[in-house]
Amino acid sequence: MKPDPSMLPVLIVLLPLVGGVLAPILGRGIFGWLLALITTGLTTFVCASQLLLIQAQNALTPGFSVSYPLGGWPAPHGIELKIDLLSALLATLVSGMGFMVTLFSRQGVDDEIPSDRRRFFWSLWLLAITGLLGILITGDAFNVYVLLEISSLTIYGLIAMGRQRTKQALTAALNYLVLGSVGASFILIAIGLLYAKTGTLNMADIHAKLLLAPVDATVLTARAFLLAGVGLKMALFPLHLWMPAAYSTAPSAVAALLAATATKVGIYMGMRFIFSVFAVPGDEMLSGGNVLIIGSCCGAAIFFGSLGAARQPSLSLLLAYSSVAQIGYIVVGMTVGHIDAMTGSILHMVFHALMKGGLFLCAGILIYRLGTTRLEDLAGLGQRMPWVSAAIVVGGLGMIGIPGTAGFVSKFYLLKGLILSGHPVLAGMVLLGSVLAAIYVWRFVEVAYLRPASDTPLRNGLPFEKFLPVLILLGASILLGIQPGVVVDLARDAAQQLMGVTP
Amino acid sequence: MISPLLLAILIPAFGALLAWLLKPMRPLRNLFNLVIPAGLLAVVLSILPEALAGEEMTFTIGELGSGLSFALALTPLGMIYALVAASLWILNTIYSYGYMHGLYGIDFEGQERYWCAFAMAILSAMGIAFSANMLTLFLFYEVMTFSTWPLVTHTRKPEAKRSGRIYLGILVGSSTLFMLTATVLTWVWTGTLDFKDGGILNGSTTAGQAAVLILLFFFGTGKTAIFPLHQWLPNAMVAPTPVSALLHAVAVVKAGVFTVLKISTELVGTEVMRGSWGAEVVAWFAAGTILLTSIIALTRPELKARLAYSTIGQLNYIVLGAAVAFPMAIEGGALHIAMHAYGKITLFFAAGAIYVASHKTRVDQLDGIGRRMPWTMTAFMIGSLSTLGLPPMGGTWSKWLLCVGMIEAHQWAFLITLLLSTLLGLGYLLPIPVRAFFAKERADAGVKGHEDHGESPWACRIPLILSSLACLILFFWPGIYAQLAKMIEGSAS
Repeated sequence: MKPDPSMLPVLIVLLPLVGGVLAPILGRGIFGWLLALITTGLTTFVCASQLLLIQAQNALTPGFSVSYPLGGWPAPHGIELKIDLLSALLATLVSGMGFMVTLFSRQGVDDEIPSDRRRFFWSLWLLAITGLLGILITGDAFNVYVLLEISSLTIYGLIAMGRQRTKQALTAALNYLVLGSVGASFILIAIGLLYAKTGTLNMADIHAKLLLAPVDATVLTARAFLLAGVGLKMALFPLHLWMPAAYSTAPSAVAALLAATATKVGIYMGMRFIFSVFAVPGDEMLSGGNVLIIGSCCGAAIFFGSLGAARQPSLSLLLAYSSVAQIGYIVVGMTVGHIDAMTGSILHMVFHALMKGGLFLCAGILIYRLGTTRLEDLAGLGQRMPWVSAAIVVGGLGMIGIPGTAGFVSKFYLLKGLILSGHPVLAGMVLLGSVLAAIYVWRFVEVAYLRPASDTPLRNGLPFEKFLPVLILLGASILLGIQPGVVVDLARDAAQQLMGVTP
Repeated sequence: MISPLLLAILIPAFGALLAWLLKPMRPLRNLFNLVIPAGLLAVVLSILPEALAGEEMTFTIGELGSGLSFALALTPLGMIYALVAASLWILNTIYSYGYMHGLYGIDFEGQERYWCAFAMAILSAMGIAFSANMLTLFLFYEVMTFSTWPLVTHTRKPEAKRSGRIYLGILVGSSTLFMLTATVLTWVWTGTLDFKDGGILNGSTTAGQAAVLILLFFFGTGKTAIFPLHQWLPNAMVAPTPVSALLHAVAVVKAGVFTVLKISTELVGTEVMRGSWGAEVVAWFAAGTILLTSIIALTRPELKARLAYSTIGQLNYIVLGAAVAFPMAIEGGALHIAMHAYGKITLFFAAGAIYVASHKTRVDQLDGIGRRMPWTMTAFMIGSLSTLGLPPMGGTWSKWLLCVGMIEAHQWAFLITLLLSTLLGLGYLLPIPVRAFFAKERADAGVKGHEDHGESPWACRIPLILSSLACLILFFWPGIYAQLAKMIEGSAS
């Protein structure tokens, strides 16, 4: 049979799925790792090729998206894979981050996870990535739920493999399990209500049917359930409580993958449902009370997340709380419904994934070499590990969003969008967030550079394969801070496509 | 062929890199520490003819989409600042050797950090000087803030840490909350951020919007040390003296006043400035700062603290000029960037030289020290006169122009402020060299007695002699600087 390029979309989920099934057979040694590396690498390649294809097509016919009927059953009855620019961009991001973190984690996994549990690590790992990628590319509402459960269940498992089998760690995993399941059930209820209302599960079809019918209580209830469920999944304040504990007790590789991708996929679900499913004329989603509620959640996330980060005893917790704040930035951009704010929001998803992923990998290196990320044990890190320490500073500057780092570019667009859409208070919160970020980042800097070096022994050297992903991710954050043109254009096109704005 | 503008940034970047890489090879590193500033000065001088001829020269570093970019351009004002920073970098490097080696030994702790941060600060100074739009200026402005933090906290003592927090807090806080807001608002309201002669606000914003932007920009530029953002500068004096000299008399603080001059002439536009109540408010704040800090300087017994408060006052001369925005005031402000730099760096050099030689830091310990350190104190005398704007020193011209600018603008209150602060300056600055030469040594005064010290090391003395000579020469031949400042005036009127 001749290879058919239109078959490529299905490979995005098929590759990691097959890899995940094969992984336990190959076992816990280096082969499992190699398999994961090859699988994620190939998936990234496929996603990137789809992204380029869609971008090229989009330039010719705005609004272009790739559609693939699974099993040959046409939509709306069969399950449809539907990839537009946003999906492709985020899928490339997720698989690329998966690849980077996999590259990072060979020794880390050996180091942090007891050998009896290691056997299924790569299997869960690849299945989690399958679920996350699936959510990004499916066009079917129920399928979203199924894939969400696949990714969630595997992630619970991955978190529970953590090195610290303390009471707190297990509580954290259980907390996440309970809250995550509640979130998933809310999403299921929302999908159920939509199905009851429209009699279809295909997202485009639901949208078309909602356009015909008046907005009634069923739709409003569905939307409320969906927002609450998605809010839990993306850890939007005040639904963020599971996240810091889960991130800081998970194995470092898992924490990096989660921080870079899982919450982003949660946000994607929010964007997709709000703009591609619920957005109907006359619906008040993007104005008035809703913006006020979600906007204040975001403002509170930025404020309390940053303040929380400034008070944490360890770098992992600090980074996790910083994520709470950064998610506030992303969600605030998609809430106000302005094209520039949406561009900023999408940019920040990508850039934050790079920077926070890089930072969590740095934390992973600290665990590998020092066995801890407690700030007091990091005294004098600037002398003891100049490279890693400098990398953390670079990532931290990106969190503050100083110009020259990627974090600045997204924030700049976000600010413009917030001002143009008439939300100066939210713009003020974003600015205040930068100042607060400077406070928590500088806590680390002062510890690392102004205190005399601590005498905690170093257990290991700095393996190149661990530092390489850090170098790539944080190097990209600098490069994209100075020359972000290409990504900005992509994000803008994606935002236009998502919001149905013709340029 | 690499654009010389880019080269002016790459050379210090290279220097910063070498400071790390050549850590184990000290002699080689020391050589490069001198070669690199010399190379930078050569590059800056090589584009001087183009600047004087008013030729255009641009270079784009990166695109941010939507017509935004990081880009460099050559302007007369930028040339003044770049020339000052580049020429004084070499002197300051030589001085650093004298000071740091004299105090902390030849292999002082954290030297790679010291040289690296220094080069980064000069890099950002070059970037600010040659920025073609507000975004680029903001980029390098922030780079400068962060890259000078390791210098402020160089000693790593608790008070250095505290000062470092104040330093970052005020500078990052003001620039993020106000300057960035103003930048975004400018972009939203005018659709561009490119600097242009005559400004970009004209016609596209209402009077109220312009006033808001002026206030945000001027109070977002914390580096000008305008009240109430001035506290960081006295606190930054905890840094080693070469740092205070180059950064807190030249590069960092001049970055602030350069920014406001740039905003006044090429972003807001002098015409809008002159008609806006926002500028009026800024001018009153600047005048208040001048008087306030002059009075505080009188009460400070620590020599460096006194110089710091004097610097705040002098900086706000320029802010005042930028806010009043009449052609002569702008020209005077631009010229003052150069003139004040040579005078004030001489004073800081002298203060450090005194400390190296005798460990004295307080003004009342300096009676009679002139007989032991004639070179240093003569230079101090020259620096004082230049800073105060008295003939026959370079500072005369810029002060003169500023005063003429105030008359031109019929701002009599500000004229009186300038004259009054000169009088106050006579009170807090001039007694130091005078008493050093003519008063009797006090036996109880020092950390050590006067008898066991002589002049400072040559590496300290040569730079301060050269910079004081520059003050003198600039009175008789203000030449290049005056010409460049004239060009700015031409475009401002």
